[in-house]
Formats: sequence, C-alpha cells, structure tokens
Amino acid sequence: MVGSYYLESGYQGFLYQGGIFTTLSFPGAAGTLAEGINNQGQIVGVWYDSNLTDYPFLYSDGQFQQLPVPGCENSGAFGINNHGDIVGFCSDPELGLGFLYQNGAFLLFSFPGATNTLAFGINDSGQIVGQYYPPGVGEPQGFLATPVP
Amino acid sequence: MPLASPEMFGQNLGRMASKSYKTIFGGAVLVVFSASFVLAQGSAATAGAPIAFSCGSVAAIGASEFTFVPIVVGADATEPRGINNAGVIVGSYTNAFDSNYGFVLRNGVVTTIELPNSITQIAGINSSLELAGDYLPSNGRDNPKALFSGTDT
Repeated sequence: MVGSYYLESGYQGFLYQGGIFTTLSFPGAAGTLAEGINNQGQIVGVWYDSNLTDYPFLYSDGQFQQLPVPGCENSGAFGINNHGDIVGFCSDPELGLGFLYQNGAFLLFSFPGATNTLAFGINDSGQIVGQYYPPGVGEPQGFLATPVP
Repeated sequence: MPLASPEMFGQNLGRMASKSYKTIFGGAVLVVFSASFVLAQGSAATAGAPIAFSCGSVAAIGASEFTFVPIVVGADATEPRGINNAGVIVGSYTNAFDSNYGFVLRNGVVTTIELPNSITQIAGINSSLELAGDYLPSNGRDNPKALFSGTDT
C-alpha cells in the first residue's frame, strides 16, 4: 500500500509493505505523493517543485524516473496496472486532460464535453476510472472508460 | 453504522496509540488494520448511457478509443479512485449535506462505506477485495487523517 503524509516541510510519500513503512521522496522535490502501486511493486505518484508545479514519477526497481507528459504544464500520475500502464492528469490553466501512458506513448483524453478530466486508476483490462468536471458550475463526477477492442 | 463489528473496530482503534507509528509519522496518528466489513447500506448506482468517444479531438498520441460511462453516486460530487481486475470500483462521494463517504461499486450496486462518525474516503482496491483509504474523525477537526484497510466481504 502506498500513500502520503504531510509535514510542515511538505508532503512525503510512503510505502507500507510487510508491516514496515518506507519513505518515498523524489530527489530534489519540494514534496512527493505516492498514489498507486502494482503487483510488481512499481509505484507512481506526483512530485512538485518549489513553484508547486506538479510532475509525474515512476518508482521502479528502487529508482525514481520522471514521466514528462508532452505539452503539459502540470501533470501527475495516479494509477498503474500490472502491465505497467500508467494513468494521470495533464493540465494547464484552461484545460485538464487525463493521460494514459502505454507502450511508451502518451494518450491524452477528455470525458466528452468536460472542462477537466483526471484519471485515477487503471486495471489490467485497461479500464480507467477518474473524475470529470461538467461544463459550467457542476460538481465533479466520476467516469469509467473502457477500451473499445 | 454499516460496519459489522464495532468491537473489532474498537480494538483496532486502540492501535492508533501505537508509539512506533507516532514516531514514524512525526506526531501524526496512523492506524492500519484488517477487518471484515459487512456492507449493509446500499443503493443502486446511477449510470448514464455509454458514450462513444474518440480521442482524435485532442492532441492524442496513439490511436485508441474508449467508451465512457458516467459514475454518479449520491447527490453531489463523485470521485472514483480505483478499479480492480474484476471491475469493482471504489472511491468517495459527497451528499447534499456535504458529508463524505466511501463507496464500493460492484456488479452495479453501490455500497456506502462509513467508518463511525468519520469522513471516509476509499483510495484503492485489489483483486482480493481488500480496500485501503483514510478517514477523518468528525468529532475533532484537529484530528489528523488516519489510514485504514479492510476487506469487502
């Protein structure tokens, strides 16, 4: 299980495994949030710099890797499945999109008509869950996205 | 309360005082336990018709298509956070009174997860139907969030 906790200095990620907590801190980051883990122990999450800009990361085999999403001002990773497919968000001040990182490529997507889309989780069938903001002043709602074969 | 065993829960709450946890988390109280939830409170999910959507309209890299289905639980906001390989979806929702609850959406049925007197959020579920999340006791706003895990029976 992974998660995050808050100290005055910022967020720290953690891994809880076999009764032991391990802190996860992206090198040089002002803060780190661990958001998802798969059965291989690969962890994804968000790190942010001193300007509070968010970036996604993958922690695999004891190493942190950056996952730069093309064209994104702010981005973060929330979920990873057992195939290593990763989901998250990519946003600028006007538009937010979900992303799927699969087979070395990023796919950006939006819930139809939404102003903002975030992808939180993905299973081994490629089904994605997340949240979208309807146009106007609506409250955020959830979605399930299923790949069309 | 939709929890089967307050006694079991009470025992586990006792672990919140664990000194080792407090030390690790710099004063934050954290509880991790396993418990079997009997999910007593449920209502039908509100799901709209499937909407076909092509990613071609955005700067998509790679060709793929998804069918999107809205997931609306409760009267206000819905936040699905995780899905397991059986398609069981977990997350949180807010009702009209701005109360926050966890939910499990399984086979089209939503079950509310509410730890006693707490704001409950479910963050993940695995193939063994083990849930993980956090809760914020509502009887003291200064109480830190705490973690929980449990099994959806």
